Amino acid sequence: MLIYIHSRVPAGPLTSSRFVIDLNIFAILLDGRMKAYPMKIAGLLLLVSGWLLVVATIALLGPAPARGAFVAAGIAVEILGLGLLSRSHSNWREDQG
Amino acid sequence: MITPPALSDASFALCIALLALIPFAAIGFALINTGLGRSRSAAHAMLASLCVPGVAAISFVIFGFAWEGTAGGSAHILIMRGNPWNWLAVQPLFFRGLVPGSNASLIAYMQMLCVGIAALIPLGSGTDRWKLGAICGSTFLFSAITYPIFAHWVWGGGWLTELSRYGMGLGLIDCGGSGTIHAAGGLTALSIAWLLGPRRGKYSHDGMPTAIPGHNSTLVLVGCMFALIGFLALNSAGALLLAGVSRWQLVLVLVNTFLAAATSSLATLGTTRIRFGKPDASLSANGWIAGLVAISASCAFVVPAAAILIGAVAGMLLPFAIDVFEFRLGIDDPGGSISVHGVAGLWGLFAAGLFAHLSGSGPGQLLAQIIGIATLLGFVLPLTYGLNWALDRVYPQRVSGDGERQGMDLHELGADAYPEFAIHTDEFMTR
Repeated sequence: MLIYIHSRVPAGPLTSSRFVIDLNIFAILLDGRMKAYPMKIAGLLLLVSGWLLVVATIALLGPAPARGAFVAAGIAVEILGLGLLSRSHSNWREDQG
Repeated sequence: MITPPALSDASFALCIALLALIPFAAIGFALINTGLGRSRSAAHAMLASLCVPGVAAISFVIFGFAWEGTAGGSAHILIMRGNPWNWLAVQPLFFRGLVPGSNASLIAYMQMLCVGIAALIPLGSGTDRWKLGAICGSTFLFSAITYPIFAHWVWGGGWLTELSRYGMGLGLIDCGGSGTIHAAGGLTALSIAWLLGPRRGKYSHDGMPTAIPGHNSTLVLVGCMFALIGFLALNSAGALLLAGVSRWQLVLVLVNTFLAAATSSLATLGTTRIRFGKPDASLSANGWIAGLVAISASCAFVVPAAAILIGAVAGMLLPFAIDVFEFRLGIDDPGGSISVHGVAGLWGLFAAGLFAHLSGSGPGQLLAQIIGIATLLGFVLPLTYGLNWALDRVYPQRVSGDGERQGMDLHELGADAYPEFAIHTDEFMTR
């Protein structure tokens, strides 16, 4: 069984003995190979996750700089989610022709 | 946390007068959205601009205000590590429980106008392809659910205003609604633009956008002038009612609001002059509104020099934001609502953290403003997107292809706005 963890998936049909796991989120953003629907869900979940990270930071951490760093991390997760959501709509438009 | 004092009789009368002027902002938005759309959809756009504040006001009175409430009112509280987190107001439906003549009654009326203005913003991004029934449905969801929840957090004594407990200045500052009205409306506009997709003929087969200019620049520019009156009133009323500013300080609010609009418009004019060789009228008009939006959060708390800077940055950002949305992201936003209200609104919240001078604010204020921005992106956007997506499943929001070719006026209303003139060409030809 081959498991690929890479941004470029080798050509050829997928078989039961050949699974491809693409974990490179930036490659997903750039390539747009993922179908629009899962990308949309993933984008929305990332947006919410980033916000929950920010909210948890307020309650759980003390004053700066730790709090500031975690808020920045939460915003970064939200930006990833925004990128994914935006990409999913570009794919959808391309599919519509 | 800012706690506004009870108003004197003179301030109460002044508030009433200011609240009567706020609808000018809605008139301005209606004219701008109509002017930036096609001639074949002009009557539809104006009718939608009448329906939206109506639906928004009714749904807000029935449901919305019960969840927004006012600072100090009863609310659902969550205890996290010993600290109370105020999440949602608990008020009677139908505005019951409001005492006439109280501060709360004035705030309730102001919020009823604000939700109408915020709900008008997505009309700009859905121009020429958004069904009237869907517009009313989407407005209902926005006014009954999305807006009241976030507005409670910012203006109703919610957890964003209580960030002061955690050493973050005075909590989120947004006295005129850069985030609560404009960024929330702008993010809803983004959801609508995504769900509807671009207008037919906007993008060629190779993905290049085609310019579809607005049909009446005069309407757009007159709309800017009306919007100025509405924003001067809205920012002043917000400063009095929500930020606890005395009526003697309102001159600063008026000066800052006008300065930011002027510099923003001039900055857009200059940027388009440099980039395209000639100033762009519709973009400069959008720059005017972007300046008004950006200064709203901090209009009562910054010096005039900072207002000029906030307006200039908003004006310079605008053409680039419009380019990114149109060229890079393939988002068709005929009225520029996402850039004008969403981007400038978020910049206004951030700028309030950079430039606002309040006793007791301190360096933690910027962090409070950033948390406000994170909440808009991480809570308001998914919520408004999800609600509109669900509505789209039940009742498709985009008009049919034939309807779009025919024009929204003929298709949905049965009559054109300009029946004597054939002033549009067919831009649906294959390129």
